[in-house]
Amino acid sequence: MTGRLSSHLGPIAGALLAAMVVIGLCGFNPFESLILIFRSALGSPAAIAQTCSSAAPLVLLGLATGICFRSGVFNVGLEGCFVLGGLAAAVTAGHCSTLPAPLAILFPLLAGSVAGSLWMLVPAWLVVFRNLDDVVTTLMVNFVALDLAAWLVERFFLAPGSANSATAMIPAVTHLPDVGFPGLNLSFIISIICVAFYAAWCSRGTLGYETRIVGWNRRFARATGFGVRRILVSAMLLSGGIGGLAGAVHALGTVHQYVTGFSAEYGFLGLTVAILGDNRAPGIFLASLLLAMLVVSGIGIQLISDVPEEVTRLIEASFIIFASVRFTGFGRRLRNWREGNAR
Amino acid sequence: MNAFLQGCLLQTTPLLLTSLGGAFCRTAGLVNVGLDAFILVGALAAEVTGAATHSALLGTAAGALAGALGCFLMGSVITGLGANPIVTGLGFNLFSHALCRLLVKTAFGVSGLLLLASCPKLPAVSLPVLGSVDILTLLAWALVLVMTWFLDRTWLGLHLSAAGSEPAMARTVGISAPRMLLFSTVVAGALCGLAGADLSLGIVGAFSDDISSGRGYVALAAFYIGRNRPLPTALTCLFLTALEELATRAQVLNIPVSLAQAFPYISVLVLMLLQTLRTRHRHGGTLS
Repeated sequence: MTGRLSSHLGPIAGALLAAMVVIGLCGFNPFESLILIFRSALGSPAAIAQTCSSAAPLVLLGLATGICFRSGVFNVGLEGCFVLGGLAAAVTAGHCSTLPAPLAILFPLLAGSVAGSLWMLVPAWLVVFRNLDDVVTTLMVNFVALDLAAWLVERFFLAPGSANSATAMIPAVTHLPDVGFPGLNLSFIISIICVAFYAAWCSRGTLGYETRIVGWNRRFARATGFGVRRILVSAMLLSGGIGGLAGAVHALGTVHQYVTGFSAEYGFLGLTVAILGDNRAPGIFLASLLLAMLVVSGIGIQLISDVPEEVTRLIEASFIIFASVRFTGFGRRLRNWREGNAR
Repeated sequence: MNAFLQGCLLQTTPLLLTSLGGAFCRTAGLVNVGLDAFILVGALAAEVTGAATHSALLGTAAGALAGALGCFLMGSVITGLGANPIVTGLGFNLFSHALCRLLVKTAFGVSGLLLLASCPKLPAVSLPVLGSVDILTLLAWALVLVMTWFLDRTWLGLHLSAAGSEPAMARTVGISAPRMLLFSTVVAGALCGLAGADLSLGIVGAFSDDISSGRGYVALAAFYIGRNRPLPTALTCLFLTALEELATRAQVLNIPVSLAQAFPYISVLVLMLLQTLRTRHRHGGTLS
């Protein structure tokens, strides 16, 4: 157990060290910056609540990425699902102002999830049925999704009188309500439920079992009669649905509209979370909280000091760089991973 | 028509340099997703050095150096610490984006566009039919030939391919795959740096943090389609740029800007799809 824990702390320490050196070279006091980050993310009960709420989309994206990783598809296309899910939720929420509260929240969440799942059909078809490279395909599809969302907003959903491309603010009834504590909204509960479901799905669900076998050895799975294509497509669509739900939760809980720059590279942070957490439910949850601290402090740190927001972005990026490093021989496995899954 | 050809040739240069670098890395066994990062770093280094020394050539050299250094760092993390190349590459892209924004903000106090008045432009060469192009365009196309020769005819090039395709077997004949990989990252980084210099000193004429506009990712797809061979990769780049150039010109007619921006990515997907159809046809049956 301690061995497994230390193999996860290694990349975190390495990332922090590398980022602090670079921050120091840029002329900022790295220790002071780090303390400021901690203070703006965990300094007050309200800040802690906000960090927990912001962790929710990351948890969901980490789970979505984890589902694909387990089945051996290197899916980096969740950024697209996140963005389109967020847009679908924001647009649907705009039409839900007259519904009673539970339905007014449920419908946009469903819409986001469906949008993410539908969008994932494109890369799923290309990767599973046409044998295109998964990394290149999902990356390209991401950019198409971002441009498509921008066009949809400009063409159909532009808020009246808005200068940049943004949809109208969603009605108050569709905002995710606070649960028990001001600032801690429903998204946190949703993410905890999903983590629990994911843990059960991995160990007890049929598809969870099938994806594990397919991801472990695709040729073996085919030889023993698993419907590999069906399993891979189901896993990708499920992953897209959860990615879309993440976007919806982000739209209803935090941003309250869809606007350019809606996703601050959340898709890639979800990737990091899945890798840091080794596709396991508890790991994904803890890694999300860690990255959420950086996401939250990015906004706060500029207000309380002259340290620019980019400093937190630097630390986020170095987490991604070091995420797959394992100082206990884990790295070799990850490096050979893709080759092991080659058809 | 001439203007169209000239535009294509000019716009292809950064994409071509980048995908040659990517193909070089791929030959040595590394899928380099971080190409975008080194374009950006190269562009900033070129702009700043060019302005400080009043020399476009020194600026270009600085761009190549910065790119090579950055990519070597990425290679070291991947080979030395055993990190996953895809994730690390994506991380480097975000890292260099944040770093360049931070540097520009702290050193020059601007965010977004950095236009240094004292920075010279790249020297231009005039060609018979195509009009004037900058020297990096000529260099890029010369490099296509040089790289073909290098990979097929020199011992180092052959060692590189051997290390990339069969690392374990290469080790038994005394070729160190990690060393070959690091060598390839230096070359690839330098090429990306040149692409960055071509953008900031040539095509755009200033530095901005979205100067690469996803070229590193399109380059990734270009050398996949070209199957790591320099000439097919170069032709893919030219074709993709020509399509994009057509789309920009058609923009005057009706295509909205945001959809036109998605054009290179969609054409990449279509090209890859057509390619699998062709392979399938050639093998006379289903793949997988």
